[in-house]
Amino acid sequence: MRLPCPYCGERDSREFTYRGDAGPTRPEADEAMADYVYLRDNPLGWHKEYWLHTVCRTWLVVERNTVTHAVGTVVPARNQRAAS
Amino acid sequence: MSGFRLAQGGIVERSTVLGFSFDGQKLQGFKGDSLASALLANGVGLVGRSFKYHRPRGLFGAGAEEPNALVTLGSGDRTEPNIRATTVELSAQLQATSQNRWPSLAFDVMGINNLLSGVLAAGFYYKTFMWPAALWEKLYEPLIRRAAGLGKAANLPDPDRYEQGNLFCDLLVIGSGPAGLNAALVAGRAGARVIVCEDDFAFGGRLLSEQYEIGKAGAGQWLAACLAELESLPNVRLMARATVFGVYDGGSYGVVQRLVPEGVVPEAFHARQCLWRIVARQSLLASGAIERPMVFAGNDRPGIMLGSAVRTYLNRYGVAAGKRLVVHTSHDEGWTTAFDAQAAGIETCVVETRDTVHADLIAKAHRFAVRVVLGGRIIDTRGAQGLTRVTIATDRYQEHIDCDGLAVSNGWNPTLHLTCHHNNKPVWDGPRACFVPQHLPQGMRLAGAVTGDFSLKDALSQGWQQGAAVAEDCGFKPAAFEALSCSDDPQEGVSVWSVAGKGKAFIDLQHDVTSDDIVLAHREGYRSVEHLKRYTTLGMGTDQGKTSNVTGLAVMAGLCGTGIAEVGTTVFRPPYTPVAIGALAGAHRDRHFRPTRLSAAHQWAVEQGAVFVETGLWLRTQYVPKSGETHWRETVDREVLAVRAGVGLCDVSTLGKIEVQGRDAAAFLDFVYCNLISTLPVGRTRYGLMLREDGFVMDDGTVARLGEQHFLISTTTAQAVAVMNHLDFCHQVHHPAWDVRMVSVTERWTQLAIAGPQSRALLQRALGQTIDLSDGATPYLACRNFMLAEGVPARLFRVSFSGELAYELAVPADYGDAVVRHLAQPGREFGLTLYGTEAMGVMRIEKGHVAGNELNGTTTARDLGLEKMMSRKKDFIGRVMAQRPALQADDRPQLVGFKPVDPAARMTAGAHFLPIGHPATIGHDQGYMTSVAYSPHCGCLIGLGLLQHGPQRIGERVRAYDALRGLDTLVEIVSPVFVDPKGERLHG
Amino acid sequence: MVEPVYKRRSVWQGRVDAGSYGKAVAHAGLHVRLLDHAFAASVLCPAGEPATASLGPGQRYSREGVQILPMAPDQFFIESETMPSKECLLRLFGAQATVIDQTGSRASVQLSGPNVLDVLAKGVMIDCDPLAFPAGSGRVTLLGQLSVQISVDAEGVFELSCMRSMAGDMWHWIETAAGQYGIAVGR
Repeated sequence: MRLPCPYCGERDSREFTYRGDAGPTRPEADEAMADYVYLRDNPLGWHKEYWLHTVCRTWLVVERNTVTHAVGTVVPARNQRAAS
Repeated sequence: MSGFRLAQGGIVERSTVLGFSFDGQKLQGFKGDSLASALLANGVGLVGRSFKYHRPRGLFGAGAEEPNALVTLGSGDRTEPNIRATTVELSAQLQATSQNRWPSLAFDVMGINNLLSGVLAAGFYYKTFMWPAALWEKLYEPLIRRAAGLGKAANLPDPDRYEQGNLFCDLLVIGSGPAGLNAALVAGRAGARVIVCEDDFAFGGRLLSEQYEIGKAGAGQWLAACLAELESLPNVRLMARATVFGVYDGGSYGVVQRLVPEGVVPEAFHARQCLWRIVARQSLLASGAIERPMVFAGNDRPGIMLGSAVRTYLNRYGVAAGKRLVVHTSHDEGWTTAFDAQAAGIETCVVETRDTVHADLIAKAHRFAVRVVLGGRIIDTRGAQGLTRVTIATDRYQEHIDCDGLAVSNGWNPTLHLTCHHNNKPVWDGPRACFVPQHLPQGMRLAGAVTGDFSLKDALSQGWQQGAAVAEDCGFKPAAFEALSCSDDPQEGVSVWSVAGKGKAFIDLQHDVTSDDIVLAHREGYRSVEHLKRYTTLGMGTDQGKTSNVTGLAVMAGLCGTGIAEVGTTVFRPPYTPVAIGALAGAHRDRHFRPTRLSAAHQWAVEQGAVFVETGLWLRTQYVPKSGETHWRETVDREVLAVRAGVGLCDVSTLGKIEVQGRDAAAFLDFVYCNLISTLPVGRTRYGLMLREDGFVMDDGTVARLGEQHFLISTTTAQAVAVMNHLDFCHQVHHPAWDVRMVSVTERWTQLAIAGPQSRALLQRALGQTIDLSDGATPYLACRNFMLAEGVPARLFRVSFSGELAYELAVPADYGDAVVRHLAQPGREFGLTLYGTEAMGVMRIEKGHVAGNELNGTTTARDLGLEKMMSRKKDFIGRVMAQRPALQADDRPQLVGFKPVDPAARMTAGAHFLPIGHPATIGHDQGYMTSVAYSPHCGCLIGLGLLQHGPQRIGERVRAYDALRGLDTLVEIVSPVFVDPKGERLHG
Repeated sequence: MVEPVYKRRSVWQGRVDAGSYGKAVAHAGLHVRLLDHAFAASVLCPAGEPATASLGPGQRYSREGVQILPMAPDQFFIESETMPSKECLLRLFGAQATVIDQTGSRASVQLSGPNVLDVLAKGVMIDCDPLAFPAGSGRVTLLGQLSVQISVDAEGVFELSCMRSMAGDMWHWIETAAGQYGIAVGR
């Protein structure tokens, strides 16, 4: 698999570390924290994931299709709040 | 048998004779032979025994599709089983042995299975070996294991080296037949980066096996000119013996290249195979097609081959399959076998299933004096160890024909396996009577026979068109196609799916699956193609059904009364052909499985005789035996006593060190640690505890404040990478606007711990005037930068893991070696002891300091007695979840100390605590021991562990129960601090 | 008391000697020079620092005797043979830059020779061919399991560096991947 890092270009997946679903945002309210830590959707198809490009230490939000493995948009996680 | 070398013909190098052996028999062949062609040339008829019935078998094909000729090459640690003789390039001294027979090919005791075939039908093992159940492990399984399997592995370490590599190109051409080569030519000439991968040891594909003409000359000339040109282009790379075994995501392809022919020992410094990951912008699958056999009773005898294979042996290798050949065909192309054979002087007869054929074929047959039978089927054969006769039937008569070779041709199956690796299934093309690719992996194109168009003309033009299209897509200007005249024989045929004759008719030769097995599967309800495969094992052998899958499901379709399209195929998955595990491992084996990280002071430790232990990727000094010490406990006890009485030195460079600077550094550290960091004064250090978001402890370390906005944090060795990833995540995802600048400096600094009551004295003496270590100038927990010498910065931290008066000295890695040698010098006055992780472990347990054993991912700060560290004044990672009721429960096991009641008794980490006098069941489990070590100060084993209500039960007794090691020790619950409970030694 | 003299020991000292390795050949396919940079540092700038606007990713820059490799947005790794002055760093990276000394933290080699691309293909995960990695390129990627910095100059000479502690593994890779071509090591 290859992933496109916005800074470094398209790279072999071995340069990346997967973390998980990039959907949930860390909540302000304490009551929402349990859901944030534990609940996740498991869609068939497009979803957003956190990947770390270990060589440039940039966390990325990768839009990926879990069925076709196609990769959609990739943005640095630090821009995610700005983008969403 | 009957194979023999023709006096002329073939493209082998007759001037170079190679000696080889098969089953101990010394034979000869030519350079350019495959092992199979050399065997055939020597008249070797039997090449193996079939899997289940142990029927004698000969060569069936001439390439990767071969189901029968699985041989073992080499011996000793280079033994390699299950190699197809048809793909092995003959080499000098090649040693080959047949498989699956005892004591010999000619006489195989297991041939008795053939007589039991009624009982050994498909799925027999689902219905047998059930009763009595007790016999399964003792009798049935060992028997089955001995009888089953093909070939024997060496069971010795592989002495050869395997490499891996990464290649990049615009166009990956898979297959070097006319389609692939034309594509490579047009794209390569246009300037695109092209890689051509060919599975065979020679380039050319089908051109090597037929007597084609291209451009009014023999195809061989065209091929030679084409290869010469491709080799001359610097942007084209030709790879022979390179199999594209898998198509992966993102335009990646897995290729295994045999750098030396199988059975050849690589030269020194050379690897045996290379696993390439090829990243291609586009690929062209030009993998051709594999011929389909006929199904009739007795269709597996030695001497029966695919027609295309007979032509390959004739035209490529100059070997005749027999003296009297029958060609059984349903397609025009089968007639070519007869014409080629007759032209080589072999008496041939054509048995054509169709009633009428093209007039040209009949005319040619007359010219070549080939006997023709139209409308005929073969219904039986004879000849146990080699074909002697076939029985044909037309609707008018039956006849026996004596022969020693039979070539079968029943149409072609495109070799489309790679198109399916992305979970696409092929589709049945009725008019073409074959499966063709439907959806393709992204970036893949097709050309030639793999599309279902089987003519040479189509291959050449499609190859060119696709190659040109790729070149254009990549921004180049390819030349226009110039069609060359080429031999273009008729291509018609009507595939025959029915089974002729009574008696065993084989579908899958390798797994001995017969048409009766398919009838059985159908009768028992296993009718879907997935069930058919798994119930009968059709297509599950090392050949993955290349000559049997389609025929098998055609028979099933017939039984179900549906079309082949409805039955469909199973999914083809990588690898296309077997790949050695060694190639997948590459260099990652034995010592080099993972990188090994060494501290700058490692060499010095080696000189001291240190014994090392793996901690993550690092090698750390575990203990340093002195001469005369025979047991590690002697060494470790001595080290502990020496540190607590004098002074010791331990290399702690492996712990993660991260610089955290920036305007918001303090706020950020407040966010990631559960305790307050922003209140830490400049020039001081503090113990820090990091939680995970779910409230469990992740890691601990020290935080040193070197400036207002300048922090240096440490992590445990094992968690250094995870913590760095976590910190980056917290910054970039949770607080991207904060000005926090972090970078790992683990490699920049060699860090040495100097501990013990004499540590100050030793260090002061060693460092001289460069730093004032008096208690006033460098109090407990102080930290600071200083200059060790001109141009050599250093840092000093007064922190202690051992509980003794201690310091950590950080020096640049280039000076790590020099500094440790210098410290060791004056040390002799003070008795400086080099100590390792074992002694460090003993001392921290003696002081009740938690480490990896306690920070095991399932403990909370409260469990470890550290809940006071969790600040109430700020938000931090894990704050909310740490408060949830389950983690605040009263009965969660908590950290406390343990001593065996009998000082000589043994207790172990991992033991579970049980109340005295109760059964050893989960219901009575009260916790478990996390760390145990022998304490020289206490004169017995001591332990730390997690026990329900532990801190409230000091003085009580429980059992430390370790069923795995057979221990049940009575222990006393004590304070986790065993030495210097008031902590006075820290301030010594 | 006499001030002690600490002898500097670069990462390659005592680990690899100059000489020939691998197959005995008339002309080595790979030439290796073991490097020892006098100064190295990580430089971290605030987001969007104007002084570094021209230091985009994918190249290794040479400015005022300092080699600069962009590592990540607003992060650079610099190497030089003399310690750059404060003024020089100010010019290159602006007043808000954080400079963290990393001297000695990496093990570097120079690779060249007729087979250098063949050797690099057997480990480096990016395309090192001049078409994809032209003169002046600089990137961070993986070599097997090692994180490496790789750059190439106008003469087609590559510089490859890894973490100091993994120097042994990088040397082992060189010996193994290039052994068949013959290796000549100089200083």
